[in-house]
Amino acid sequence: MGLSDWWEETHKVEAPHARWFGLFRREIKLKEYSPSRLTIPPIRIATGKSLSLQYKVSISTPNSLSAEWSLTPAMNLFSCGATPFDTQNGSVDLASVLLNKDVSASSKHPVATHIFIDSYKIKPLPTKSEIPLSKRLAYLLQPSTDMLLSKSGPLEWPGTLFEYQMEGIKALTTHNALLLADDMGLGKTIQAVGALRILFLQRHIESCLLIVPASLISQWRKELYHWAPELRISTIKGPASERAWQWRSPAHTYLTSYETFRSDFTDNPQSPPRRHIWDVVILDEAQKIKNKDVEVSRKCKQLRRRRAWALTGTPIENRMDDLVSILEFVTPLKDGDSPLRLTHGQELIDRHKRLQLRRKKSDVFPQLPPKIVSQIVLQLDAQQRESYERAEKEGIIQLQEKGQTARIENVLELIMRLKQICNFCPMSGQSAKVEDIYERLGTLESEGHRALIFSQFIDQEYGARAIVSKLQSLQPLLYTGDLSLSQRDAIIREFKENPEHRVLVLSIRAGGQGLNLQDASYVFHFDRWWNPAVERQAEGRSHRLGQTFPVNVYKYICEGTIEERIDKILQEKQLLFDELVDDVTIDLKAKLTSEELFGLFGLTPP
Amino acid sequence: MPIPYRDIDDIEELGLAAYLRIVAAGDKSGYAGTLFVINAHGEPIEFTYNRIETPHTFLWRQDDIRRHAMRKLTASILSLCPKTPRLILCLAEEVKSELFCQDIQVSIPVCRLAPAIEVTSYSGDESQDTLKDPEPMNLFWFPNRPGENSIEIRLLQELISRGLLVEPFERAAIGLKEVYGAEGNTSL
Repeated sequence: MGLSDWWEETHKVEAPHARWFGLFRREIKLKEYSPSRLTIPPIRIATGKSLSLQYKVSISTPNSLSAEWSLTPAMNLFSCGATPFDTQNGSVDLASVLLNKDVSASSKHPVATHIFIDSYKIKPLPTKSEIPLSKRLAYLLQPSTDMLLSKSGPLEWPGTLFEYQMEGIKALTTHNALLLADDMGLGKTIQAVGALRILFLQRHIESCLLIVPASLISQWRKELYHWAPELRISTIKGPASERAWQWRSPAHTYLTSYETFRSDFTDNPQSPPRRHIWDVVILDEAQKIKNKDVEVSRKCKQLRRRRAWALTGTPIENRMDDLVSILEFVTPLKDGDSPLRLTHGQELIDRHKRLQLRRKKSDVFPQLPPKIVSQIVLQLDAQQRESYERAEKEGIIQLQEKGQTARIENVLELIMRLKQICNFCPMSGQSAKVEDIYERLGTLESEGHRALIFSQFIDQEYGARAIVSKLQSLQPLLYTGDLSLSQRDAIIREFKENPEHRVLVLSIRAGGQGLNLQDASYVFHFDRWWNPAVERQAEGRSHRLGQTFPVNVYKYICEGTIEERIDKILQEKQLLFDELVDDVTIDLKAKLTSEELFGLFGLTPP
Repeated sequence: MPIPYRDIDDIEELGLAAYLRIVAAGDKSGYAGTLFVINAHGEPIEFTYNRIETPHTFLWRQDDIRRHAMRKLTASILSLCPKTPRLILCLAEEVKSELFCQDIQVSIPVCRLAPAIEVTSYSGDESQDTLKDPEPMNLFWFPNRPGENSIEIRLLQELISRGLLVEPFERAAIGLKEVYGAEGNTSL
């Protein structure tokens, strides 16, 4: 009889296992072995704040060791784990077993023994013979990634994953280092969440650090909850005292902003982000670390990590150094190793080709409605023109007077001043752009369309607030970086849920990335940003999956002004960079030479 | 930290399905078998395995040796399974009807699966059922097909809807190969 009573051997029919040969009765002689059982107990996460792992081992039979454990939330699940023992004659507890973790402590103990291993020390991945059988089986017996991604598979996906997204998820799950550089709007977030979900489910990983721009935290939370509802998320934000317990909360994924991460990653090796070896570190909008010398960039690269994924639609915003910096992050970092340093050259190119997965909208989504970009060239009215010319003239005279002491900053100051005047007349408050946009929005409103208006400025005189006050009759909403995160969330929700708001005015820096605003199919660039990549990102808020109308993008340029001259240079640089780096372009401020900047005003640099 | 499924209550209510896989060694030296237990979402719960070596002798019909070996092998595997699954699924080409109709008695339904296009022998004690989707299959139930609203049928339907009717047999075979193939104990 077995351990349970749900089965028994019967003797209804005499099985032919014995036979008489004359006087001798002979039986079939089988060589029998003891069976083995591998137990993969489902684990429930209890509530509470105990920080210990408690094990309860029960021995059922000499050949059956059944380990059960109750898991209470651990402060640091990454620093300790039960090492299963390899056995032919016993069951093995596989909860929390990661295939790719250190197995040096494994052994063939005859009884259940739990050995704590120091997972801080990462060693090279063990060979097959070094991995205990139990771990190999735990890995092999999991449903495959293909199956988990399948519509009819064991996992419920809340939406349809496109073929290229499934490929992206597979790429992420199979690459320890990946730069996912899909075009904006192709669902990089969903792919990353999907990959995380599968890796957690397959028990390949148990910790993830997700660093995103502050404005996107709530969106990431939403996507995580939607696409991977099983995962426990700890959002790290707020005062330091709150963050301390947020870092300690048991969670699959720790979600934080670049700024918070920078604060919490200190020189102390026990500071929360440094305390662990993360199974995955994900940087969203990874262009945030494009400057390798800034603090947050250096800190991201110092994180010890088994997998490093960077997500960005614009791996190069300004120059090749951006890519260098991002690729320095996109590599695992073992304990004791120094962050990777890369230089320009063939090695970098090869590495880029090896690590970047990039799909364009036009390639993977031919049915996406087209994006039609138009320029609207306006003439300033007399008073605005007069203000502009006076400001330009005075500015040039000041530059000339400065002579050898004139600096690029002085030129940039003048450019900004002139751009502001192109937006609104400082004397009368009139604006050729507002008059034009008001007229267009009136037509669009009657047709049921909605619009996004991006501006570089947010102030009441020349920027987003001024636009909002001029368009009051259209009930515009305002989204700027000086609003709190919750206020920003509320604005986006209001725009999506209340169709009476036909217009959303956004500062391009705060609203240009990460938001899904497919409800609008018209995009206006009220003034021109220095960097075409940022403009494209902003347009991508509307021109993305889920958009059902062609997206019309309008860029305002005031004739005979600095805007016209900047646009010309931008176009030239854009063409040059399109050829060099796959449609990713440059930052005017960073790339224009002194000659070009001073040349905008017919001057030569000192 | 393994992830609890969102609808964990449903899983617990539906219970477990056991996939019995018995594979002959390539060199005909014996059999390896496993009872692979999963939940309704395909999550592996238990993997119990064993092997048995059979004699090379002219004294016995190969069929008798096979039957005897399978009985012993299955009994040894079941002896180590404390959890009671809702049903046992096996492949008709591997597990003949006599195993559960005559040699081993279980208190849960057993379902032997066979592609509809294959000729499959079955016992008069079994009841035949057919499945059209996702692919035509014959299902041979012993002792009888559970009632339409029974938990066993709900579990089966859940498995079918998730593409888990046949797929776990592949995982079970991969597991067996890892255990025995890698160690050279038997050339599966």
